[in-house]
Amino acid sequence: MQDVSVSFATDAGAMEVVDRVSFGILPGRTMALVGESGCGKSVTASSIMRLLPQPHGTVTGGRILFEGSDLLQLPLREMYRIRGSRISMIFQEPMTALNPVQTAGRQIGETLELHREEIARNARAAETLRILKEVGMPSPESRMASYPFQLSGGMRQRVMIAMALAGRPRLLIADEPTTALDVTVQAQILRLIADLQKSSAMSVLYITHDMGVVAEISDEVTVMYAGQVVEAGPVSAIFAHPLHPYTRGLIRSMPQLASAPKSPLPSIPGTVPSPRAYPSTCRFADRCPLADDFCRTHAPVLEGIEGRRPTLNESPSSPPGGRLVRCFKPGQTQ
Amino acid sequence: MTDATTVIEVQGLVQHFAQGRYTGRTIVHALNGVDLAIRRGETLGLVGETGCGKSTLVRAIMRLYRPTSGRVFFEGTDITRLRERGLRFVRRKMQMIFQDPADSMNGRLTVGYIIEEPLLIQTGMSARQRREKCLALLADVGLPEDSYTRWPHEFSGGQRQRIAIARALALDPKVVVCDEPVSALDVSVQSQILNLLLDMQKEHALTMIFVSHALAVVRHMSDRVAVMYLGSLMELADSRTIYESPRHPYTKALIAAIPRTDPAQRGQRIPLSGEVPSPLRLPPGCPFFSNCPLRFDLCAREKPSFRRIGDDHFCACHLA
Repeated sequence: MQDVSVSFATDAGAMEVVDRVSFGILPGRTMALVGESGCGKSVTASSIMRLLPQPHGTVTGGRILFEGSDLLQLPLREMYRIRGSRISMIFQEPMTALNPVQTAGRQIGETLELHREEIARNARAAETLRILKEVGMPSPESRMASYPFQLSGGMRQRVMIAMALAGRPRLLIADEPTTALDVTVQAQILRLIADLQKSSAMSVLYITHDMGVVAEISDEVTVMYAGQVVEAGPVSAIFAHPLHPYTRGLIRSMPQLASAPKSPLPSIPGTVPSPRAYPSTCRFADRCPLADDFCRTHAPVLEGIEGRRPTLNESPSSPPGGRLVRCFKPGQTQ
Repeated sequence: MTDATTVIEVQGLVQHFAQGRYTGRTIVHALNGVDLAIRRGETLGLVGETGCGKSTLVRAIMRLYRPTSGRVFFEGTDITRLRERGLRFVRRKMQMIFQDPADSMNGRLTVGYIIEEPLLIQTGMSARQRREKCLALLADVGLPEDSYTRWPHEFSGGQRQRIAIARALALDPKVVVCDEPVSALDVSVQSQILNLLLDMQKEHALTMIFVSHALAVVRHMSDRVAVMYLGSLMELADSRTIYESPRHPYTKALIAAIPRTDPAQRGQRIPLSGEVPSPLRLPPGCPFFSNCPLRFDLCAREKPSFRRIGDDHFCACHLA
């Protein structure tokens, strides 16, 4: 992703919901795209698949390079071939993403029919069964003939993952695939995605608001707030030394298993601004414990840690490299 | 058995639902003999997976259902068989906060009316008294005074949950049941609402039942935690014990499945492999039999009783 911006047409004019987002995903790695509802993370993912709601949503700038070609420039026919084969997507609520009147086996078979032409018609059932086994479906033979309503939430998610994997994608985009699931099933699905990734060296773009899941599965993290990337870097560094006050707030406001029960939780005051009213200054300034007059009148840019201007209260141990942050006071605490 | 510190007591509560009127009648075994005593001023956390009966249990306690068998006591009074008229005093003392404040509020009523409605139904307060009470509640939950004349859709999810909390507190209840109160909220707003609930509990001396599948949140909010599986209680102890030294294999699996917020700790957990059995056909023995790593022949035949295994620690496992 290079400087991708997305805007939506509304009655009140164009509304920019994603503002020059850039990131890269290496082969075989997992990138977590983190943020709260409305921050633009799902829109960013949809723009990769060119699945923005039409005709309101348009990519207004930037490039999305995938294996060397710009997805935004491809003819639609070419894009059809990439969706479901080179890039697949799984969604939060499998019940709405699956066809309710077709069996699980048929829906997986359809992907094979469209994207795996080398598999003969009469071999599709066997391949479907193999994939269902691969995603750990209990009693896969009988489940092939089940309709989505006959399956539990975890099993539906497995069917969706099976459909996504049937085309042997190089990139899997997972949009909050475990948010609707119980922790035990979530643990199974996260493990499954990690195992499949290991065996096939596919890349994963994992979209979530749950910092616990981020810590569990990702290699790199990109944090979005109000349509912009505010911080990016390797997962261990982000958790050890969050540089942006928003990232720090997200990590600290989660109840920890080691924290004292019934003690007040650190929280971020206020609410996320509406895309209609994104300020032209720092978008987090209103909720930021560190904000001063400079922050409320200037817009910080996303910059590498090495290139930032020195600040007064610099923390003594300088954080590890390879990181980006959009803040005038990176790494500072009160 | 009921002593002064017990606010709510549930004995052998069974709740069945009939379904399939046209396709052949089947019974959903939602609760299968639950025994539980909730103490004054405590927060009891209730955890378990989707469909384990935790919402059914709190709704049965609030007498939103008519239990199939078993008994429910509120402050020593048997409320199991009370009808609507008799239940009015219970409704006043037990209030509920739901998961999605957008669904649990009438969008065509002003915030002021939403909060005042319980007062209108349950008390003889004058319009002026109601308005004063409402404004005091709004201030309590951190909403501006002008919210009174505004509409629910003008508020964000977190603010709407504040309105729901104000409404629940309007009648000065003894017990507040929170059913997934922060699951629908943004992460940065969740902790604001949790803090507000903790403050309100202290200020109004509330007994709370806190239902959630977010285990770290329940640990943070609760004095004691009850773990449910397939309509039965599996384990009950103070929250530290449940999370640090669980005894039931299901509790252990549940705790192990919580994502850790430290990337260095990842991959140290063994997920459960199987699916939860259907509440339509209960297994004859232990509900957790089919997924338990420690099962043996007795577990298939006999359902373990929910018994005391330590100081204020209860567990339903033959091995505990």
